[in-house]
Formats: sequence, structure tokens, C-alpha cells
Amino acid sequence: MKKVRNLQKLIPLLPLLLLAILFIFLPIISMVQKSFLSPETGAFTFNNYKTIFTDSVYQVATSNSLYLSFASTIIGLILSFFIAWAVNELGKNGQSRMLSMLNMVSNFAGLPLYFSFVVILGNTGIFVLALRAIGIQLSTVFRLYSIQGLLLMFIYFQLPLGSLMLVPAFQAVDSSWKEAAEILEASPFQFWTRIGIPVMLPSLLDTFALLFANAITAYATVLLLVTTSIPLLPVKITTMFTGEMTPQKEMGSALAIWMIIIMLAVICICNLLKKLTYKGGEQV
Amino acid sequence: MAYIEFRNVHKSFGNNEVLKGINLSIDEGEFVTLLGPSGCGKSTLLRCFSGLETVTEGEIYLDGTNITDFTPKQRKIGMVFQQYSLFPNMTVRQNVAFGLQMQKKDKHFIAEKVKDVLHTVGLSDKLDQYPRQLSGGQQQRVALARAIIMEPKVLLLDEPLSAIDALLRRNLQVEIRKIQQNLKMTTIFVTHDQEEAMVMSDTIHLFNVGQIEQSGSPADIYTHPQTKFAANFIGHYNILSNPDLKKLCGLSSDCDFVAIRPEAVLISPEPLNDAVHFQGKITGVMLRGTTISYTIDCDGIELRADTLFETNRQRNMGEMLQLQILKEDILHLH
Amino acid sequence: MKRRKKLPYVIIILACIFLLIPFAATLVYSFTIGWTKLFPAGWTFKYWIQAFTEPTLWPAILRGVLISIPPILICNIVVILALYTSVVYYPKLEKYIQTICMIPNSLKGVTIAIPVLALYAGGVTFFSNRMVMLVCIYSISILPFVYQGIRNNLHGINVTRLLEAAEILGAGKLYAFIRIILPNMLAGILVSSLLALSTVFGDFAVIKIIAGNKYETIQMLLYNSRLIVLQYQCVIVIIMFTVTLVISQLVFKFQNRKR
Repeated sequence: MKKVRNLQKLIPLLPLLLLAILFIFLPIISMVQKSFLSPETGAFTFNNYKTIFTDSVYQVATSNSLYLSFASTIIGLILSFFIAWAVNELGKNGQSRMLSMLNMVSNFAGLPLYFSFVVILGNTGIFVLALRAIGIQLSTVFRLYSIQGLLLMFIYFQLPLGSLMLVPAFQAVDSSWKEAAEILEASPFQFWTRIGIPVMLPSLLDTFALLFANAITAYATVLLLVTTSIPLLPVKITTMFTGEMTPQKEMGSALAIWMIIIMLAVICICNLLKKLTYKGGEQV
Repeated sequence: MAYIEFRNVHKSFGNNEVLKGINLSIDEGEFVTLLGPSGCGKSTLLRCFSGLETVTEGEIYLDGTNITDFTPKQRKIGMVFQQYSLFPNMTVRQNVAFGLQMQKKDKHFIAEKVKDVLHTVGLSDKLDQYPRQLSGGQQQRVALARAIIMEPKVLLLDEPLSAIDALLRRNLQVEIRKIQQNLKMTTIFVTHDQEEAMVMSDTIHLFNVGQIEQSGSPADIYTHPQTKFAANFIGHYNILSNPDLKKLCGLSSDCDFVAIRPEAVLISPEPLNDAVHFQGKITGVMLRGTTISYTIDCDGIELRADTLFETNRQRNMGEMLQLQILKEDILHLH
Repeated sequence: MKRRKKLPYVIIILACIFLLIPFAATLVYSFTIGWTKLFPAGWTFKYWIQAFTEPTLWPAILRGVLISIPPILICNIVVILALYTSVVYYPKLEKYIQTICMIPNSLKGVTIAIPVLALYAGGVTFFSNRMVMLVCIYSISILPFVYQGIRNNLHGINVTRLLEAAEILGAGKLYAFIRIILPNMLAGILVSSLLALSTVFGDFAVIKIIAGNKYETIQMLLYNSRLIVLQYQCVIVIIMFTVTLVISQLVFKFQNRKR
């Protein structure tokens, strides 16, 4: 009797569970299953994954995606670190103004970001034209429609996100630790390397994982820029399901799972590092 | 010249002048307490001495050197903060060793020294624990160890015990004092707790809105407050205005106010010489450990009288009492 | 003394320049006739007038807002039910709920839309309807925001204490929930819902993959206008940005009022 009533109390948890099962777990599981099916015969096979590692199209897409994601995450994290530090050094008013600016810019991603970059750095972008007018050919060193162009855009959308995540992490670094270290004759550099950054490490790793996931799944920003010239995983995957050509569901599934595995691997490594480097012991 | 000297030290934050010309000397080996309510400038003076704040005007001397423009690093001082401020990513051992490592001392030397110091503060068994695993009292001992291992010229304690619960605080007070006396370390201690100041100090400097109100030994300050503020802040003095004093016992003072310690209000039938005599009715009884304090209404003037608690001589509410105060116990406040 | 206060300002200024240039350039460019030299050839309101007089703009904005309403409702209800139950009856379950709700922080956009599309598209079930798919995917996408908002709220008001107090005063659990807990959570729900709205409004990947041109939000409108002159696209970008800005200002306002 009591058991039954206890189970009844669990009913409110069902809708969330159902939603998650139907729209996260089932689709992913079915995708995993499909990725092991042969497109021709429908039999079980590893060939789809083999193709990812052997076919140069997929290799290039993978390495492009990895390069862009890692480079934009690392550069973005380092720059965000300094921005967040600087924001934290500001007075109260400056701080809240900067935070709302960062918040505002963090909405500026995807298609709008792409068009804005076309305006300033596209083939007829105003920077390009202005520089040309004074005799400098920007295209000799930088082109928007290249992997560096993509990298710049990625860094652009990583910065506000990274900074917004790291500002609270800096606030968690107690100012009295700085004072104590100063009195114990540590330089600011020694303080940050020996105390500040180690204390912030969990937040830094969390931010790294989030920025990476953000970069590797970026689709809207890159869609119009790369369709032909630079293959990237998200775009490749999407065209295999929705393109004008006949859908390649099995191969696409394998590629999607591949991308998800990369992303999960990075997240897991970050979490593992967080556990390994955690200092401070359990609370009593 | 004294070991430490503050000469006309001013400090302002914007338009807010927190220190209004402090002159203060401290002898070597002395335990000095800066006492006062929050916001009186006592912590600011300490931080100015440590170099964490710069002074707006004036000079600070330590051991004959003008250190006014020195960085904290150059001053060779130790400091313990209210919030412990232990580095959370380091063990007790690493925390304590930190300063010596910054000085690039020999590893072996550091290890030995850390053990010594932690023994002094009674934490030999916690070497490899992290701050989070320690109680507040233990954390503060580690902070103390981290400061004294540097053998600083001066030890600064910025309300180190305020975040620690009452019982433990008593123990730590005694212990800190003992360690200080053993090491003969010049110490400046900041607190808002007058009892703590009494227990620990050689000299107390009482602060009020950016100025020193009164300086002296604990006994001196306790028995002879010179101003209304001092009397109010130290102990639970009865403070009477001159007209009230006249009404109570017919005496008159040159000053506007007088202060009478609660223990000086005597509830005794035998009249003493050189005392004033009057009557009062008990309106409140409160037991405070070994003493008992009575609130007494003397014709509209409320007095507090403290006596030793004696089980067989309880007095009741509403009882009329014969009271007397020795004339010398009536302190005139400037 | 040695308080060097300059560096933070230098960093802030550089960051502001880098982050604001694309936005400023887009705004300026939307008013130009053409820009082939150092300075624009001339100024015009033409593209703004064009955007606002075409019949497509307002419906597109409206569609973006409309499509976010069912997910916000669904997500809030689902999360409130789950979290409330766990906080009141099964505190141990909370960490599993958190895990589930945080999944879309990493699995987002393409990685959630493609698997759903692959599983349900072309079938005959209820979920094969593109609009249903869209609503459900958005409900998943906004889970982290909604979860965090509601969780902070539930913990902020100390639900267990409030419920105990209400029960001692003779109120039933359900009554107490509706009369006491829910009203106290309203401000928080509003904030997280607005955040969710701006996510849905800013989404392109999901709508492109799931609905294609069948449901033209302003994001799709911008995509479809990719071959028209750049100035027109700039106008749309600025309009989109303004809408998101309004939403985030509302969030800011409500967050401050809560304190």
C-alpha cells in the first residue's frame, strides 16, 4: 500500500524523462544503430566508420573541425582569461556595463555574425576596400573565405561566452589571498601561477569544454562560408540528411556519432583533469 | 626613537578621511592592540602599516627606517587576516612553506622549519590536510604559523579571532599571547572586542572615528576611561550627566558627564567614609556567570550594579536598597 | 605607488573595439548606397524602407516568437514537476535531473536536430510532423536555462520550510504549492523563459534542418535573402539584434527587480 503511494509520487518525474528519452536518448541510440548498417544491404558493418578514417573528404572535414575547435577554444580561453581579469579589476559600474556588453555580444552569433564579417572582411568588405584604397592588399595575408577567416569568426563568438563564464571564477579568487601572498613576498605572477590559476582550474576546464562543444557544433556561422571550399563536420553531416542529393543516412549517422564522440571525449577529458587536479580535499 | 612610529598619518578614501592624523609609537616586543568599533580606522591603520594601503599623508618608521613608501614585500612583516586567507589549493605544509619558498630558501631548511612552527601552534598532525578539512580555529593557527615562520619584524593580526566561536576564541587568545611572549615578537592586534583586548595586550590604543581616543595599559584603560566614548566602549559603565549626578547624591562635577563602574555601585548597609549614599529599587536582575547585575531605579535614574554571585544572598525585584559609591570611583569624563 | 591600474583598461578597450566593430560596421553599412573606396559613396534609407514595407518581415519575427511559446510552456511545466517532486520527496534524484537537463549544453543545434530528424522524419507517427519535432527539439534545447532558473528559485525560497509552515497552518500540499510556492517562483520563471526565448529566436541550425523553408522565421528570412544586396541583409541583422537586445534588457530588468 505504502509502496504504491510512493510510486505515485514519482509520476511528476515522468514527463521530463519521457521528453529526454524520446528526443535525446532514442534518437541518439537509433543513430548509433544506423551508423553500423550497410547502406546497400542493411547488414551490420564497420565500413561506415572505416570510410571516415580512409576517405580524404571525411579526413579533411574532421581535421578542419578539430583544428578550428581546438584553436578557437585555446585562443578564446586565453583571451577570455585576460578580459575576465580586466573586467574584475574595474569598478562596480564599469563591471556591470562590461557584463551587459558581453551579454549583448554573446547573442551575436550564427548567421548575423557571418553577414557582419562579410561586411567588414568579405571580398568587398569595407576594411578590404579601405585598405585597398590606401594601397594595401589585405587578401595577400588574410581572406575571410579561408580557414583563418573562420578561425577569426570562431574566436569572435567564443570571447564573450568565455569571458562571461570566467568573470565569476575570478570573483571566487579571494582578494585576501592576494594580500597574504603579497606579504609573503610573492610577485603577482607567482601569485597567479601558484594560487590564482590552480584555484580557478576547475572553472577553466569547464569553460574549455563548453567552448569546444560550442565550436565543433557551430553550423549557422559556417554554413554560407564553407559549403564548397572548406568541409567541416556539422555542415557535411547536415547535407547528408537534408541536401538536394539522395540522403546518405547510414554514412551521415556514422559521421554524426563520430562528431559526438569527439565532443564527449573532450568533455570527459576535461572532467577527468578536473578530478585529477582537484586540490583542497573533501570538506569535513 | 621607538621601534615603530606613526607620524601624523592621514588616510582618505575619496572624500572620506578614515585616519585623521595618527601619532603612535610602539616598543620592540610589545603586544599592542588597536581597539574600536567597526569603521573607526583601526584596520586601515594596520593595512597602511602592512603596505596594502598607501597613506595619504604622514610617515611610518620601523626600526629606524622610513618605510612609508616600501612595498609590502620590503617591509618584512607577517599578517594574519580575519578570513584566514589560507590558499585553498595547498596543504597546511605548503601554505606554511610558501613564504620561505618565495625567498628561495633551501628545501631541507624549509621542511624542518615548517615542522617546528606547526609544532609551536599545535598542528603537527595536520601537515597534509587541506584548509577545507580544518576547523576555523585550526585554519587560523595555520595562518599564524604561515606568518611567524617568516620571522617578521612585526606581526599584524587583523581581527583574527572574530570568525571563531566563543569557547575556542578564549583558548586561542591565550595561546597567541603565549606564542608572542615566547618569540618576543612585536605584535599589532586589531579587534573590536574590548574583553579580547584586555586579555591579550600590553598596551591598548582606543580608536574613535579616525583618531586615537585614549592609550594605556588594559588596567589603566579599564579603570580610568577619560572620555564618554571610552567609558561607553570599555565595560558597562554607568554614565551620568552632571545634573543627574547632582540629583542622585548632591555632588557636582566640572565635567558634563561622569562614569561609574557597575562594580563600584556598592550594595552594603555599613556606610563607608568618602562615599556618597542614596537609595534605589531593584527593577531587573540578571545573572552573568560569576557576577550578578542589578538594574536599579534611583528616583528616575537608572544604574547598573554588579556584585559577586552568592547563592545565599539573592535580592529580589522591587527590593529597596541602600547604595553607596566611593567618591574616587566617580570618574570625570572630558 | 605600484598599483598599475592601466593594463585592465587597455585590455577592456581592445576587447570592446574587437567585439563592437562587426556590429557597428553592419549598422553603418545598412545606410550606404555602395562602398567601394575609403568612404561610402552615399547614404540612403532605401533598404530600411524596403525591409519594413515588405510583407515578410513582421510575420517572420512573429513566427520566431510564436514557435518559442509552446517549448517554453512545456519545458517549464516538465521541469517544475520534476524538480518540485525531487526537492520535496526525493532529494537524491536531483543530481540525475541535473545531469539530464545539462545534456543540451553540449548536445545542441546540429547534434540534437539530426538524430531526431533521422529517427522520426518520413514516418507516420505524431512526431513525424515537422512542427511537433521543432517544438520538442526546442523544449530540449532550452532545458539548461529553464532548469537553472527553476532550481535557483526552488533553493532560494527554501521550499521545504515554506511547505512545512503552510501545512502547520492547515494548508494541503497542492494548495500550498499553487498559492505559495508558484507565486514565489514567478519572477525566476519569467527570467529563464526570456532567456529561452532569445535562444529560440537566435536559432538557425534547428529550424534549417527540421523545417527548411516551411516555417520562415527571421533567421530563415535572412538566409533566404543571402543573394540580395548586402545592405538589405545588414538591415535584417540589425533588426534581429535589436529584438534580442530588447529581450536581454528585459531579463536584466527582471533580474534586478528580483533582488
